[in-house]
Amino acid sequence: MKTRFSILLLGLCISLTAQAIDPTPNTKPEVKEPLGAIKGWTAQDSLKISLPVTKFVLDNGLTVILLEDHAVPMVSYHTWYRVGSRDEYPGVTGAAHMLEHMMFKGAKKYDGKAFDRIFHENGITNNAFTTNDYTGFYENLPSSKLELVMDMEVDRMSSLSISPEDLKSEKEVVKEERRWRVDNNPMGLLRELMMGTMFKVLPYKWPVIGYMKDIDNYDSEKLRFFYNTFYVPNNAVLVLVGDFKTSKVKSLIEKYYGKLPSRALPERKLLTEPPQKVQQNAILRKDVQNSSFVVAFRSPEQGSQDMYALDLAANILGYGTSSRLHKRLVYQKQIATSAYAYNYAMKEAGVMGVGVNMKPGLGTQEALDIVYNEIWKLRNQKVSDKELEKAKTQVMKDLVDSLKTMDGKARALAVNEIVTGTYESLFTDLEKYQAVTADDIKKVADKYTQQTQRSIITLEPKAKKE
Amino acid sequence: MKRISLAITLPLICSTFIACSSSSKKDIPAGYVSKGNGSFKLQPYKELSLDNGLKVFFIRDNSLPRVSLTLMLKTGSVQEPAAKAGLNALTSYLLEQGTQSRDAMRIADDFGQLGSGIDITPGADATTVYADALITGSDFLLDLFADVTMNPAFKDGEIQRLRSQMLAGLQKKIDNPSSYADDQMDQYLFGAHPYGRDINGTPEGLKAITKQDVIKHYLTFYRPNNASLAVVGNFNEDYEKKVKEVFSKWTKRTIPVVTAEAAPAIDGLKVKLIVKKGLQQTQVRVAQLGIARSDEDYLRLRLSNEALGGSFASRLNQKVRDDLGLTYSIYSYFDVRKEKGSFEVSTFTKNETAGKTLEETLKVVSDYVTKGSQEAELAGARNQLIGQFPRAIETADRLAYNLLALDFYGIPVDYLTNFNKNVAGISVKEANNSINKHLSPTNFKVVVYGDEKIIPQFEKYKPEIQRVK
Repeated sequence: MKTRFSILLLGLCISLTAQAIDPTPNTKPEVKEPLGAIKGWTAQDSLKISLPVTKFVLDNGLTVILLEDHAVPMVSYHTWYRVGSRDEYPGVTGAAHMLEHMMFKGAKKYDGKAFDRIFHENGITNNAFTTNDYTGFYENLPSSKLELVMDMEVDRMSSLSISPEDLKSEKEVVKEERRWRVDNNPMGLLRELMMGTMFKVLPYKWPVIGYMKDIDNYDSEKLRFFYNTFYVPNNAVLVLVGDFKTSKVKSLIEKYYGKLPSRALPERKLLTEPPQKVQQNAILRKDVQNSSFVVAFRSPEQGSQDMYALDLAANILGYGTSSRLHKRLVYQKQIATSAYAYNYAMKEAGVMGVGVNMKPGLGTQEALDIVYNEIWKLRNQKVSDKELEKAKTQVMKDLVDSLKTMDGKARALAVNEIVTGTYESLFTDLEKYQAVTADDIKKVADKYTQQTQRSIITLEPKAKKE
Repeated sequence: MKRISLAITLPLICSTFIACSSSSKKDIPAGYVSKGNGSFKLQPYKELSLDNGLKVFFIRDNSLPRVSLTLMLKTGSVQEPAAKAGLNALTSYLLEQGTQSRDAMRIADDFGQLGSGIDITPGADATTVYADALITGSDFLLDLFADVTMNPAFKDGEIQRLRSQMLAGLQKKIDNPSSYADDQMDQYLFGAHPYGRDINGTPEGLKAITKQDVIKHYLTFYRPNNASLAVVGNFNEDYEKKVKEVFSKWTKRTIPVVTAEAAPAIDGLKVKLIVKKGLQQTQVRVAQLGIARSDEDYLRLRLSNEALGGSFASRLNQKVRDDLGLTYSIYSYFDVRKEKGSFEVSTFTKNETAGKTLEETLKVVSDYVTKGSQEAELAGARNQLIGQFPRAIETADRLAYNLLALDFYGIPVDYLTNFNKNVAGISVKEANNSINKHLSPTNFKVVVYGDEKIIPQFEKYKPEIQRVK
């Protein structure tokens, strides 16, 4: 399965998003709004995307987004909670992710053994993921199984077991996951070191999966606290896309979810990360074949004005074979096997990373100098109209590609709703990208990519003993 | 993430599939057919062959403002000589590194301007080239795609550059324990058969390839009568005409038949340990030769495997992951190919439990092969395959890929239209008989890749040991 979408555990894709979230949205009347042409988008009549979305909020605060789509007789069912590693504390790092695993280990009506079996027997596939800011669960089901899935999701939203025995074996599973993603994976180690180097105050400094020591030490009470606090209807967004009748599904949702009580959410005020005043270096020596490095800068949070221009700057710098870095490092100089750049915006802050994987046997200095030079050019010279146009087209194309399947549509709606407070940002963000000028790019590059603001994280082969 | 998305979809074909009736209600353009029966019909498509032998599938899909082109070349590393291993991959990657009228940077820029890239995927049996664009760029896309596939320049400098990239890639593979273990398993299982080697070749093979080799390989196998093309998206009749005109210029040639050396037979349980100091986790692979895609037991084996190791509810996942907490991921699959492929179980665990994980895995697999599945679990597996089938043809791109793949294997399209009926009709006895017929519970080859300290855990298997510096 080659789904392109992978925000999973600090995936790095262009975020289409924004703003602080109102944790307890007020009940709003149902609105049905087909979205037409995307305003301001190169004036092409043919670029129309129409998604007749219905959104409403239950009395208990559950936000619901429905989109009928009869392409195949299936439904994509997404339940996302506004809780991630940003809600953790030192000592319980990775708790949000551990809880995600425990959501498959049984609740009051459906026990742990039954969960996967019932999904399987009914032709349903399911999975979940955790990020820094949110946790998502999803199923792809034959449309006839909608009520069954609803019953199961309500059960685990309201009365999860978290038994000590299940936790014991599942902790071992998560420890294997950590070894697989991080400890036995040099690029995973590099990423973990990068986040720890860039952030000193914000919870983004620890990995979404958590530290091994903390994983070892979770107990049911710690996880239950997270569950009771955050797995409440007023902290969740439910998105259904597929083969159903909106009116019928709406009453089913009221019937199943309406009985769940809402609960006040704690106010979580995170400390602000003080500005970085001096360049930071971190180096990791491992038994690897080649050197790699990332030059990383703190960038602004999701939805901030500067995010749009920085996303496009990163695109021009290092997205695809036509990017400036690929041309210089991979194609012309032939010293790297790959070069990339991204701007990953989260709820509290972002990371703009510029990375290079060297060919075996080569040091990093020449490539570093080229990266510095390319970043300097972004700060001091305007990008060409053609490059800017290309970057904007790529953003538009990524959006269109993400909407190919029911599952893709549901993800796009959910991620926008949960991080910006409205799924409509999926479309309005495009206008903001379209409005970015070459001057804007120069301005944000100047603001965020100075030498004192950068962190250089390097992975190097250990010297071999002969 | 709870667990890895299991890529159980079998390579080149069809995880699953059928479409629903809604698309057939719309007006069907002239020449298009909507194949199927009862309430299930495939989205309408048109199939034709050009005079030069190129088969073309058109699927009009106006749900999104985009167009895609997929070219499947019925050639892979199977047709390259072992002494020039990597020839097909190198040839395919070179397509986007320069044509008679565009250099490599121009091609990159042109695709970039479309918001797109070109996706070249060399395989053992077949090689695909895919590109797409927003509808506003559909004409330009066609021009560019045709140029890249039909007029490659194969310049010396580009060959040197790509060869060096591929050599670096081969060397770096060892840093990814999972794909390194996969490669080592293939090699161990298939021996000198081309399925045993990396698609990107070997260092010796790559170094031996000349410009003449590349040109000859391209002229011999990258021919319209050895290829098929799928055109998908929001286009009209004029576009179909243009596609036909453009690709009619490609000249056909006789395609030679190349035969490969047979894979070695397996005699008993053979364990190979590959150890590298400092690894934090051990990769475990258990394999046996499997079937070709065209095997008549294909669907029965797919169904049977679904219950063994195809999902989170499978026996392997329930036992090794959920009950014992030994791994984050375990699954089994039949890797079906043009010729006989493999059956494989893939998992990983901490070094301390490497031996135990292999033992438990073998127990589950052997027990399943010997005794087969129960009625209830097979019923669940049937529902799973049927329930998820629509996703395989949910988008026009996916339907197109299935049409190309079926055509490649010479399997009629009723594989799709009769899928549900056929899966529903498989009895427990049939499923059990076929897995028992194709797998031997005592003849497995095993590759284990972990830290040196795992060695004592495998003493009883008398393993072959290979050390990696």
